Amino acid sequence: MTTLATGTADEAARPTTGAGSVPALRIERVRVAFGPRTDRLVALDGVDLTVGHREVVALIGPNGCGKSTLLRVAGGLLAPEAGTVELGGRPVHGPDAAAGFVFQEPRLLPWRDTLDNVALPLELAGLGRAERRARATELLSLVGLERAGALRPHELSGGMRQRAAIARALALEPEVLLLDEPFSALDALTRERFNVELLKLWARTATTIVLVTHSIREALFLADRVLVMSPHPGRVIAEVASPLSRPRLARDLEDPAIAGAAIEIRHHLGWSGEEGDRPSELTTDEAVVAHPREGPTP
Amino acid sequence: MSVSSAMDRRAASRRLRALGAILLGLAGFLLTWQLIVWVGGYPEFILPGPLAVLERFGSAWLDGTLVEHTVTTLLEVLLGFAVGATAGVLIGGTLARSERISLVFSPYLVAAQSTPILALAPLLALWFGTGLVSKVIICALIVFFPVAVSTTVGLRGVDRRLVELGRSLRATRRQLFRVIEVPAALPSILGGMRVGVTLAVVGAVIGEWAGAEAGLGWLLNLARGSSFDTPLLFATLLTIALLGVVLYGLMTWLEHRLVGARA
Repeated sequence: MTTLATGTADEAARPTTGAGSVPALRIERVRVAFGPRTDRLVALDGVDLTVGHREVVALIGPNGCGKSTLLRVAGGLLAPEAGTVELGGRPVHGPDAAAGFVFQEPRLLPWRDTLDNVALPLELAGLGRAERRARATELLSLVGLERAGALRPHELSGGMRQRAAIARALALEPEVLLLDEPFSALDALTRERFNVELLKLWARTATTIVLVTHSIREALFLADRVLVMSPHPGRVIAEVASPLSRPRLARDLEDPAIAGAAIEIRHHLGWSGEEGDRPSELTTDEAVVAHPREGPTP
Repeated sequence: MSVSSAMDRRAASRRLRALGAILLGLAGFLLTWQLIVWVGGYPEFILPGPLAVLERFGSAWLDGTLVEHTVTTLLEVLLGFAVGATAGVLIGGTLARSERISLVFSPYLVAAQSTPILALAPLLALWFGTGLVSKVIICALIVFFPVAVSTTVGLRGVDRRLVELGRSLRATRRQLFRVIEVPAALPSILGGMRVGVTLAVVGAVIGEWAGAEAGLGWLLNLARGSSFDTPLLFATLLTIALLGVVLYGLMTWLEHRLVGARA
């Protein structure tokens, strides 16, 4: 409970990335491969990633570049073949309490009401019924669902479901929140609102965020740093800092500075006609940058 | 308020009309039956009319005959169902978890299921006597298969993403099973039980037929064989059918209570 509602706007404005402190997440030379020994598909190779306390980092790249795999490695859901993973300075072996996952789908249990869904991590951790319900009620109000506790998932809108999933991920007060394309199922307008809300939530909690997204603009709006990944094998090929200062408001989505950074990211993604170029997988944003497919066809 | 009450009224009248259709169908069936008896001029011990059967049904319930035998059969059914369904869930759950165990044991299960219970029933009566035990075994055997299969199917079909969520929350193997897998498989398991409970009634009757001192199956034998009381035979069949319907209805109700509120 202590980590909730301790952050102020000032703190939020300054993520600690100082070299002296222990990073929230450190991934070093991680390698992940799938499939039979004779036909290995290397999903990640030699990936390094260090995320400071309260920092927000976005991973972006085409399908198959290992973004989601990297997120699973970070949270201990997937053991890497080689390399080290540390959360808050402690090595990760298996699913870790210091990581909270929000998946692309809300993954709520359909037979439980929203309150019991949010209380699930607390139940699995062995908290008593009264305690976990009280805590889940708090979490629900944190994400603006205080009145939805008794509803079943199928009675919630898509946005409400994802809010519940976020509340659930926060239940164990994780050091790092890992978001795997959390808003991709939402309509564009709701998605923008959620981006703003996520930052507000982040400002109120003490969590560090690593998120996977297909939207360049979303990445630049939410994150301090955007890591660009490329496939075969999955590697981090570039790092682009967001030009926006904190705190960020909804109007910052239209900040012209985003356009410049977006062009840089697109350049790293190699959408200008190279082999392996798959720009259609990325959400293009007409308002910021012209559609990459425009231009002479080969 | 007025809109919703109007909707309630409309729903009520729709239900009333449905009930009317059902009753009309039943009346048509009974009338056809009676007509066949009249036109064919069959004696009562060949084909009794619905009135004669209903009369015998009433008298056999009032004099306690059907009460006694129904209680016997119901007890066999419930015990056999409990044993068979429990075994089905446990073994089906085991088969779902391990592909190898499933590969080794599935052929035996299917072979056992394909053996007509009718052939086994006399043997079981010989081994376990003509009392409760042999009937419970037959019921359990017959209930086991659909429950085991539906449990395996249900558990295998659990959304892997929910399991991954559980893992990300550091659920133990036991917690995953109890909190995610079993509830997720419940609709399928209960569906198997719904099939199983009607089969259990058939199993008990077959068991009693093969050798018993009481029960509805035994009564069928008595009515057909020694007393030529065909109206009683029909009344017993009616009771068996009603027993099946009631048990099926109970399972459906239970299913609705347990999993009805999912999307």
